[in-house]
Amino acid sequence: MAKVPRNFRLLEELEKGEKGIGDGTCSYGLSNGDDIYMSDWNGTIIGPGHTVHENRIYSLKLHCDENYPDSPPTVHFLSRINLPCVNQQTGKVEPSKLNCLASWKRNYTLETVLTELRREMSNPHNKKLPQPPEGSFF
Amino acid sequence: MEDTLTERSINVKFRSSNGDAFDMCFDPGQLTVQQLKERLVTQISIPADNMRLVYSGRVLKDEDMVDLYGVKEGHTIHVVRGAANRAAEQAANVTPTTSTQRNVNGTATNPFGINHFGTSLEQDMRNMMNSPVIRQLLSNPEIVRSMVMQNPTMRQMIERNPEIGHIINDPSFIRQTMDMARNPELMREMMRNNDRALANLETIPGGFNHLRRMYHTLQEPLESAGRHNDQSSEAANQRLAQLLNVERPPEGRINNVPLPNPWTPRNSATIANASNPFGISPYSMMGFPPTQLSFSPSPAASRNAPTTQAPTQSTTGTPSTGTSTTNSSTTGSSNSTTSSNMPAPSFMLPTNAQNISTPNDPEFIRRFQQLMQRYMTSPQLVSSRQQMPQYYPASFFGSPNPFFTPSLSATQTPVSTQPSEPPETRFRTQLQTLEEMGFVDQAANIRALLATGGDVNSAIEFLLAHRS
Repeated sequence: MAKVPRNFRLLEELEKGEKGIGDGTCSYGLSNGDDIYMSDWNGTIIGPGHTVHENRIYSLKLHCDENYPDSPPTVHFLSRINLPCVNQQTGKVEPSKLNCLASWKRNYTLETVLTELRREMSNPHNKKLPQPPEGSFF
Repeated sequence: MEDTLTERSINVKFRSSNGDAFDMCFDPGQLTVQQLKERLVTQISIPADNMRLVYSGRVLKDEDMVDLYGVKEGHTIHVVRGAANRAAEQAANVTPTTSTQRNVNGTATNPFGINHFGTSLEQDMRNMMNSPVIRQLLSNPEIVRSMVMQNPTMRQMIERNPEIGHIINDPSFIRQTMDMARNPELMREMMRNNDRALANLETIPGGFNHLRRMYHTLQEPLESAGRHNDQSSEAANQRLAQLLNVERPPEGRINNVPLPNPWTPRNSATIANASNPFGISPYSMMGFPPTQLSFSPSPAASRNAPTTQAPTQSTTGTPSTGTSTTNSSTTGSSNSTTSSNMPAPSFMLPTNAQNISTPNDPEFIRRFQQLMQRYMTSPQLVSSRQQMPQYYPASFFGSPNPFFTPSLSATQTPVSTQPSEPPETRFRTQLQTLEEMGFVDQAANIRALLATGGDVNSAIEFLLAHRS
């Protein structure tokens, strides 16, 4: 199969994000619409129901460097959240602690990361973790 | 809508979290996010204050213009239900509650919007608890305490049992009780935890003996404090034991008699009380049972009040059949007290007959087991389980808020130690002891410890008996 170049791939993801294709629980888009390199992205995760995250919306910042999608994006939470894979000082998602970042594959997308983080929130071990007040930021 | 569709209007899709989707045409340069939300309210059943709009990984802020976010033709904005705005919440607190529309009797509406009748007691309770007046009143533990002390039954109970007085004096306990009464979710969660832990407890042979001991050391004094006229609790207790076919097991031997099933069908009206370890509803704790609350002695209220007694009386007062021999003298007398106190303009209504259980009432056994379970799940006590009878009274009343703290924290982190831990960790010390004694088969050791509820001596006996 032909290798999709970085920018085509990101354009594809941008369109998908703006049109809201997907299950609607995660949303993402460029943080600066004029950024022709499409490096900096915003993401939101809607807290899964029946967990402490219910009715919360988490904002994230994702950065795709020039090696994307060969190498994973770096992901930061902007909203404070208590999850084992999130550095509590910086909000950075530790690549070693999130499965899809640790074993990154080229066909993974930003949406893959966001949905995996959301699944992490509803994980039985994490879904009742005490959380910082809503609306606080790293 | 005063804003006309200009040439800059775009068609945008909206998707809600429950899968609904619709289109709307608007000019993003003319609308703030707040205005957009107000237009969306007609399409979607989320109030504007709870509505969150998410586009391209960003939450739209109310005061921003929509075009700031670069929404374009054909794009999708996600509509999510979020927590209410703080300001909106405060506003809701100021507006009076509106439950008066459900006044089923068509009697005069009372100023607090409280329904004297009605089947949705829980709903009424919640409305009442959320009404600003009550909230303010109950936020002051001192007021609650004086309300409790106004009730002669409660006062007598406290005088007889200093432990209870200790609990009543603890402001955090009062606050938590109020929170629980206010929040049905919390109540349900606690009940669920109780049931789960109880199921675990039941599987331990000899567990019923623990229950029995607990009854003697704690529940009985509490219960008899409530039923101050009834001296026959020991006899009733014996009756209960006979009823359940429980014989005192021979000392030093393993009890392998199966546990009786206390979950006989129960009265649904008492569900709201279920998580209350006192066996007294939180309402009557405070001195006003829910059906009988009257703040102002309005004619309608006092006219209605005596009749509310009727159903209660008929259920509890019926001559009992078979297993449930209701102590009719107690219930009868408490009923008459309530009715005679009824027109009084303060919180003086003591014991709702329903809430005072006799020892042979299945509902009572269940509550009692919940009480037991609450004690069992308290993390710091799990380790001392086999010394329960000695540890029990001191530690139970020693901690500042023995009844509620464990299970409240469990609602946030329900990894309650006792039910979820595998026996290997639960019995770690005992296993080590057994190993040191030369019982090397760990599987057998665990089996023995499970069978004996963690008692090393009995486990050794068990192992020796089953070795051949």
